Amino acid sequence: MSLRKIFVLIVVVMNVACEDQQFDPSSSNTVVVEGFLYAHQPVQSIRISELIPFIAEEEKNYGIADAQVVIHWGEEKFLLTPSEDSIGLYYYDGSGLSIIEGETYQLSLEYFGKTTFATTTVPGKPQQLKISEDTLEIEPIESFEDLRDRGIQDNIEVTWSNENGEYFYIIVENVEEDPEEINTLEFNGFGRPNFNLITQPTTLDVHNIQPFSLTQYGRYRVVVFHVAQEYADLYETSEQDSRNLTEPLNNIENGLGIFTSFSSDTVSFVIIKPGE
Amino acid sequence: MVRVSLLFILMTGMTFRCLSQDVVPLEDIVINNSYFGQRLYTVLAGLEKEFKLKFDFKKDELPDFFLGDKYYDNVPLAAVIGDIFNQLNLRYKIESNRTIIIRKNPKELLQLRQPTRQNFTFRGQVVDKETGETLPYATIYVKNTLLGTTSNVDGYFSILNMPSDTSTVIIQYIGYKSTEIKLYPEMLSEKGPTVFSISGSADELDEVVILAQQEHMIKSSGISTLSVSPKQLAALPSLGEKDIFRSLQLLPGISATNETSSGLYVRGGTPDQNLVLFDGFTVYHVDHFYGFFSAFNANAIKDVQLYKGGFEAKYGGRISSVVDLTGKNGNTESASGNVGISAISVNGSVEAPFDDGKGSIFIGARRSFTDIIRSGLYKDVFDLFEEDNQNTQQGPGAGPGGGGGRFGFNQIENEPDFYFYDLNAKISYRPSAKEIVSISFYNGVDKLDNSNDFSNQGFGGFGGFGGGNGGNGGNLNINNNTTDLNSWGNMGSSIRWGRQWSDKIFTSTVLSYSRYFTDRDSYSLTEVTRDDSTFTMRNGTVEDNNVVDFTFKSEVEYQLSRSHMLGFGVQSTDNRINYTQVRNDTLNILDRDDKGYTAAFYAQDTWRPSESLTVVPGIRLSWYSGTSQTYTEPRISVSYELSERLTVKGAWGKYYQFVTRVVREDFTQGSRDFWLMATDDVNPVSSATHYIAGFSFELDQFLFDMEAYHKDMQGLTEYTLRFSNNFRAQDQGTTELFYEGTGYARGVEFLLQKKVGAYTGWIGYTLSEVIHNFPGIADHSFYALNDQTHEFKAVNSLRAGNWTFSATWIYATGKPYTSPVGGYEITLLDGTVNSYVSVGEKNAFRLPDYHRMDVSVNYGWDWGSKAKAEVGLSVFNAYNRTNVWYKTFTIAEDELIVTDVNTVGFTPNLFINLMF
Repeated sequence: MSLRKIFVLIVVVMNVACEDQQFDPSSSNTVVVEGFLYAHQPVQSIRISELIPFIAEEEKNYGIADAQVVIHWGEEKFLLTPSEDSIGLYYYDGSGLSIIEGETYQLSLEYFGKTTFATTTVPGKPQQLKISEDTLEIEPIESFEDLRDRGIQDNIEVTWSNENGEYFYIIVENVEEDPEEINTLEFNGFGRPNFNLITQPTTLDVHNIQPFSLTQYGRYRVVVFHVAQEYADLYETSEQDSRNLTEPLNNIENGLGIFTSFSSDTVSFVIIKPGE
Repeated sequence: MVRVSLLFILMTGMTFRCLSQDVVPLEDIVINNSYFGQRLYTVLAGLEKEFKLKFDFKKDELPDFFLGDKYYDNVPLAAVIGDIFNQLNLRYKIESNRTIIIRKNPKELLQLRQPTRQNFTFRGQVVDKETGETLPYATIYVKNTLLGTTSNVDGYFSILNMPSDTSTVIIQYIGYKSTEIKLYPEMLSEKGPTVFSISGSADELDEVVILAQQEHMIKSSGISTLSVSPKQLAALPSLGEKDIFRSLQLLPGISATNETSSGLYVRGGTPDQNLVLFDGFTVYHVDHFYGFFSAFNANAIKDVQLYKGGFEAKYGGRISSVVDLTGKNGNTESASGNVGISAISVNGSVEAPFDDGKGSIFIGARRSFTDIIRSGLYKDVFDLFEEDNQNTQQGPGAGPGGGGGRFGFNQIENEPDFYFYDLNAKISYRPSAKEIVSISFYNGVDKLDNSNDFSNQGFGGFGGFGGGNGGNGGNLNINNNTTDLNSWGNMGSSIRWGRQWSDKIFTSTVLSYSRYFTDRDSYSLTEVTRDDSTFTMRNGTVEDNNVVDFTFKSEVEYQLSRSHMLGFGVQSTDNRINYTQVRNDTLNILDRDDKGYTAAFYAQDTWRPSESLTVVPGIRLSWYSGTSQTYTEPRISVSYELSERLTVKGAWGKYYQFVTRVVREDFTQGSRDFWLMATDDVNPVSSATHYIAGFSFELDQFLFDMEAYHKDMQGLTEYTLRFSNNFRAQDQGTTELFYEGTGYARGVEFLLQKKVGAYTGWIGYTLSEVIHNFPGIADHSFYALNDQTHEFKAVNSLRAGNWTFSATWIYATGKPYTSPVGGYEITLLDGTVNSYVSVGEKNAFRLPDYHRMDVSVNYGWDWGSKAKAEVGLSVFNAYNRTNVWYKTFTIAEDELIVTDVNTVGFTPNLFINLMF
């Protein structure tokens, strides 16, 4: 056997069962997606940006305004339009794309020479949404005596069905145009925004509204959002450990961030002064 | 046919008749002659001619000269010969074949005896001439034949079908000169093996001929197998201590760039995948002094066998490689010893025989004096780790190299206490020539106390991490007590009984215990008193890892025939491993306490179907309690001598590992690892398949060796907190922090060695890659931490009289690391904006290339008549190259602080040894 044959033999052995590896160390070229779809709502909250390098340019806006962002729904594709007001924000200005419970949507875009994509399935509308009170009387607070004499009232209880321990979050907001303040001792109501409370995602099937936490009279809307799993994952992992640099879970392929969807149902209640 | 037979008889008869007519029987020869004024050579020539004699002598022993007035009148031949040669102090022997042999040395006359035995089993034992140490794995072969074998661990060997008891054998042993011995009947013992003493020095035995100069330091002894001479390693430059593992790292296929680990990264394997045996017990951790030295005192070791892959079925429990170390038994000839001192430690050993050399004892010890005298080397090494510790104190703007501004707080200067020691002891006893019993003990410990007590009174607030507590003023009293205790070490012991039962059967039985421990207790107790209030904070980490190993093994070597050497044996290992990692006293991140039992059986055959072909098939069966499964490990190696100089070789084998060291990923501060039993839930049984092919081309002075390898690995484990965002909520000892992966390593190694002569050394080059695939950690395959594409090594040693000059140079391309690459924000539904640091692709970045030159000069001389002394100067990193060990990353106020933790710079070291 000649030396040449031996070399050939060795090279053959070397290459048995080996595959070429592809590595991309320049992964700072990464797309970050913040995309939220709401059932029966127009698509207007898709934000696309790039990862901000540690040596960042001070004046540079890292939003990506020139991407072809598409939402796939079944066999159809819907091209999103970049916002002129906010770099990196995209919306859908047509009429063919509807966000419906149980449907699956895929977002995709080509950038940095790779396809970034993510999928979400819109969760079902919250079932058996009920509220314990539709009207509640609260005494106005006009003096320190009123504040001292204020009694404890029963909570307003909002309930829904959640047998599987899925995630929901709740918005409680005053929908009056110019709501009257309950506590005029501290606040005269001038320039104060409407009451608005957004809860953390919960796996419970109840939310208690404590009357003393409400600040304004009038009609309140309680929106219960059913949260898709990817948002629950993000929320649960949203704190980054500075030592391990643990990144939150994300559902973006070839990118970072979140693309998720919600569905909701609404109940309401009214806060009135006694005797009204 | 008849005619031919008659003719033959006739001719034979004629021959006898002629002899009887012409040749006088030896005993009848009488001399009537005067040799006055004749030269000796003329006289001998005359006798040869007249009486059909033949004189066999050496001209240097018997020079020609005038005989003087020699006159003989009817004097028998024997008397005349005696008269002439006795006065010259020469011995003679008159053979029946009419040859008269004349020698100065009487033993040589014995060697020239006629054979009394033929085609018999030749048994022997190879020992060192000066100390009587048995020499394992020596090569013994019969001159001008292909008959040969290798001595076993006790130096015993057998050669079946020995042609005669007057054959010539050649013995080769690494670090010793190749030695030729002419056998004679009286030399060979009838009762037991014959002891052959060989020497590394020039004053050879009488019956010995030194064939060639000694082969220094390393010797290729089979596929992926190397013998290393601890004795010769002193010539290589070292960082303070002569170190066997550091020297092994200079071989191709073994990474030489891990200055802070004596562990061996062999062909893409990690140190835990390398089985380290010392006198039969397993050593789980080989580092002293942060890995700058190995745990083994080179003065206590007499033999090192390295198997880089494709190793035989005799060895098990590891998937990469084997280092089999044999400790010194002790001097059986006379008491001797050694003392030495270097910039780091003192060491000494004594060895002595007892019971007339049947027994011997060896005791060797080393201790650093780093807790008493802090030498430059100590400071170099410790600064390296101090730098690591100080990284978190570096402010924004620090670039590579670690400088940078600092926040407004006090820096605590602390002088840590550190020391290490090790002790080797061994008692060996030979109840008979056929057996040896030895008890070996090893204990090595490193201890570091980096605690400090800091107190500061009356300063008005400070800006600490996170920007809290700033500027309140008032009476502020801060007491900080930091306890940082770190200790690790090994203890091992074995009882070994080796016996040669017959010409064909040798057994070796070992009972061993081994324990490795590492304990880290690091916490900080801060008490802040402001006016009337006191706030106490306790932060820290406790990390303990213990490995205990009880092993029994019994091995049999059975020389079935000239072409079959069978080996088989059993092994039983009981392991207990625990690992605990606790943060801040209460957060038990991981707490494992695992037990495992492994029972193994192996059988192999060293089969030589022809003179040039050797095949070693083998199989190992292992039952492991952790999985209740039996694992089958078939293995085979083949070597074929295409010519006297060219050998092609190949090996294939399956390997399993039941105890592994898991990488604990910490890319911000440098990854660490810990031992864990393989279990079904978190740490699977590792396995590997080796494919090796190569050839070696050997000349008298040079060896060129080339091997290509491919190693498939399964059941790899990595432990990381990086993907567990809420470990507090998870069950203690969670399985979700472990990730299982696969990988492969492949490469080509080249070795060009100058084996003998005043100048020796080698050039080694390795082209390789190590790829891991952990689906839970990365979407695609990535380079392993120990991947190194190119590695080049040059080792040079020049002997000039009493001086030895050495230089080594290492060049290697950078290793991979993981780095944060940027930041991003996500706005949650409740309006919270969270900022995140994004970590790049795993191991996608490369450290700068590594290169380093070490040089040394040694001078040895005789110290009186019985002692030898040696003094040496070595310089580590001679041109002060800044090599990056690893990088740390700290995020402060949205800025990334990168710190290069560099390895040791220019470091000279002086050492003195005295051997008596």
